Amino acid sequence: MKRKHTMKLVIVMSFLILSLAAVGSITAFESQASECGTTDCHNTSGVLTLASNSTSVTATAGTPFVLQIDAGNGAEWVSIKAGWADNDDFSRSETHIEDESASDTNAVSGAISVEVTFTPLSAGIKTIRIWTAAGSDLATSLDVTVDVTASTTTPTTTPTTTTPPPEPTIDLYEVWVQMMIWVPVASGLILLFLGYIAIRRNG
Amino acid sequence: MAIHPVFVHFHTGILTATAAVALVNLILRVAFKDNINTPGTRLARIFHQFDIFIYIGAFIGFLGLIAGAVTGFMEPDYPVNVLVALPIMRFKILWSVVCTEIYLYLMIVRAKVGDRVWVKPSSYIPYAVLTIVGGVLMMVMGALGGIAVYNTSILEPILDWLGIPWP
Repeated sequence: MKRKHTMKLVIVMSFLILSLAAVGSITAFESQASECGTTDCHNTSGVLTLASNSTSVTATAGTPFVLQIDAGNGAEWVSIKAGWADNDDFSRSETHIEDESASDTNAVSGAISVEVTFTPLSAGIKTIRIWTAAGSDLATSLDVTVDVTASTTTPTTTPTTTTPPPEPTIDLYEVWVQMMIWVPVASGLILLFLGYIAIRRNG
Repeated sequence: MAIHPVFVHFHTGILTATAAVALVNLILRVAFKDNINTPGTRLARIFHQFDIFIYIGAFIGFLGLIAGAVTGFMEPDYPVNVLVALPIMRFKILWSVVCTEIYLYLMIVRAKVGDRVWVKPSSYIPYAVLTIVGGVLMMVMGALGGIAVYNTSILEPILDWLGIPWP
């Protein structure tokens, strides 16, 4: 092999090793994917603040109640995730609240205040697990215990009488889904055509 | 916010440099056609080295984008349904796919045609322009990543200076 080619090979292999090292330097802990508040939660630093106006509530099945949730110190998201603790036993007026979105009543960047209406769907002692997160891999959670007593009347299936405001961040989601299909297809076809022309005329 | 390892950000800088080099090569090719085709001249040597730089950049772009996409979706606290709710992340995901296609095109065309890719306008114009477009897209996506995670980006002063609105 000529020396010139050896040098090129060394340079290319060096960049390949760098790229492989990039993939190898993944810092996520895939085994720690459980919800916060349980073992094997993803390792996070708890410097965010998360509070509710009450962490112990007495409620009646089918009757809505409101929790004031305040997150701060850099919080960018507040979420009441499906599947966490007993969250699925409540219907919720909000599930994901982004900082400075329409639902966020705190105008300060890095702080979120939101009123979420919960409606218990069944009786029992339940736990609502609220989660907040920010940049730099920060996250924390807060548990609210709710003692739900059975309703003496038939619970209504549509307890909230007002329509919650639409999520401001997902207004163009459907457009994006369509673009995710058609933009790569269109650009792929254009590149195929350009590649065909380049190879045919120069090959 | 989902964060890639530091390593997968390096290719963004390299690809931005590659775009600048492609612009220089395009100008050289248009302005000094005879000189760059004369073997042994200084301009021909520089042109050739820039061509190799762009070729290697295409490989780095392709592999870096794959690594970035894989690691970007591995953050347990930010599953895909949360990421796609963010306009900035939707932009990054969509144009990352297009960029991957662009760098795949650059790799294949350069590997197949060799440095003859710079001979005819039908090949060198798309080759150079796509390298520039890919580099600019990577630069913008990297800046948006900084905005999403740290609420700021090193590109902000430049865009403010240019008067381009910024999320």
